[in-house]
Amino acid sequence: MENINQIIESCEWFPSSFLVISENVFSPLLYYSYFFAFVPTILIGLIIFFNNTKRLENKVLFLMLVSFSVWVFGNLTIWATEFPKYTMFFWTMINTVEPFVYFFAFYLAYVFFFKKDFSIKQKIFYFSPLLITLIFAPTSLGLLGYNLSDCDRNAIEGIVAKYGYIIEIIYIILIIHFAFKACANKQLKSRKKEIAIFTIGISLFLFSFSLSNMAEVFSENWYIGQYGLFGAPIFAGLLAYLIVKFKTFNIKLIAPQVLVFSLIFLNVSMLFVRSIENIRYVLIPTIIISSIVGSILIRSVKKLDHQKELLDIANKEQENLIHFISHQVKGFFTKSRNIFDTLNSEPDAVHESLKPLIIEGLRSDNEGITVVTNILNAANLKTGKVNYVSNKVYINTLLDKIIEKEKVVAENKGLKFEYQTDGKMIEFSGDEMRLQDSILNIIQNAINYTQSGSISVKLEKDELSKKIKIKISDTGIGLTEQDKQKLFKSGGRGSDSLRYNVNSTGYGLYIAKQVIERHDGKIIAESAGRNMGSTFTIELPIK
Amino acid sequence: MINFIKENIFFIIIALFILVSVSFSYYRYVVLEDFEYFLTEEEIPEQFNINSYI
Repeated sequence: MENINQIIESCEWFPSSFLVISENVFSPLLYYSYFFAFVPTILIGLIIFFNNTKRLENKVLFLMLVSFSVWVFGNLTIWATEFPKYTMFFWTMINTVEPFVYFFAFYLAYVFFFKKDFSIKQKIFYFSPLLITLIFAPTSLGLLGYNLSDCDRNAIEGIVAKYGYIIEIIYIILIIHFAFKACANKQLKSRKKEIAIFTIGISLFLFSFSLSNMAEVFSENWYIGQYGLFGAPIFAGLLAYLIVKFKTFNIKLIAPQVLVFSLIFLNVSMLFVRSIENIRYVLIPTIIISSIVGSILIRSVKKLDHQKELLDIANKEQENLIHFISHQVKGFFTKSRNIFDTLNSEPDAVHESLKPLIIEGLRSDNEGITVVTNILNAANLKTGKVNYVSNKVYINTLLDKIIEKEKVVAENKGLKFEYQTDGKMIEFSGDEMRLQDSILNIIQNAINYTQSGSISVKLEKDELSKKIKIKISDTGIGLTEQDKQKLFKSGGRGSDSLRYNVNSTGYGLYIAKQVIERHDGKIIAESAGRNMGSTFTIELPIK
Repeated sequence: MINFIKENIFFIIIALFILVSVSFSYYRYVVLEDFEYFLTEEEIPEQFNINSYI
């Protein structure tokens, strides 16, 4: 042992800091090749993973890049450390982890090509060769020992390391095999280009990685291995291209994230630069990345802006079309209603058997006019074409008019109807007709969507919160969380809406909300869930 | 938590295997320093010779 310590001392190795930084690394190429390999790949991997942590492709890619990062860290430590025990440990660690880069790459390729996971049998079959590495890498079969015949700080690899290279080549062959299989699959015809680009990128990365590792082991020229890492940024670049062109990994926008992450990383890395001359090695990639990614970002933003303009034009044209069609249709309904109205007012002019048809035609036309009017109102509200007339309104009187009619409708349906008020006159300034329509719509909804039980309407003036509150509760079908999301949106309906109200247009509550909000008020919908009833509260400010 | 384990059981098993293997390496090489030093080139065994592993 004394002899060993003497030999180690005679090598005059420098101490390392943070395991990876020391003057034992006598080539700057080593650090900067790792930098170029590690940074873009880990950036892209993190962006893809955090975009959707539940997606299998994203998870597997992340694991592949984590394995690669562990390899990079371990290899850098081997170069930097002065302790034989750390060389032996990290060398074993990278021999253990390296085949997993290939395994996860193969897993990723399969999932990417066929958009499905391995079966359990496939998982066991493709994973089982790695068990030999896992079990025997820490033994003497993995590393025979530490070479102190020179001061190069090398371990002597055993047979298991060579086995690792063989299974790496097998995984690469499997990737290419499945790529051809995917391209030959008629159902994947539309994705041929995407599959080809992915295969080229991943194969380049893995081939350069494994061939350079093998070359450095067999030739004992440890510099060769560093060139193999340049396959990694090429793979990262192709991944970024796939994301931008094909929205691969379900990512819609990547340029801003890449720019921000890489600028943060590169600026932080300047803290670790040891001499001012070396700052340019960090500045040069910063300038390159900022220029390339920045120009992609500017182009994306311009494109988005232009698309937004086109969308605004399309929306306006659609609104105008709805307006035009609704007006025309309303005109036809009105004419038809007038005819039925005339026939109904002349009972002697019409045969007895036709009278029910006339009444039904009149009712149907009135409903049609109401539906079209709702659609027109909604369209007008969206385009801001509605004129509000502000008058003094007594909310009690308004409600009395509505309830007088609707109470009869509810009781005819077998529902109990309650109206609570303290009798005091509540004055408000607003558009009486539109307020009446909005409150009427909510009460009618309560009746339509309640099959049994009761409807209750409560009017109160809350002096504390300075609000007029109209609460409409029912024991009806209730609202789910999904229903609540769509409720006040233009065209939005609850999931059972049409079952209970075939004439539901989906615009009534949207219009009511616009009108109430225009009067500085709000509508709140509450429900404990399906079949648990609901409560709509209209709040208006006391003016 | 249970759903997370169910969805990722395969990856969790792989991680456990790697953890055990790496922990064993750490214990052997860093804690016990149980490895051979080859002081001269002649001492370095041939990788493909079975006698090197006995």
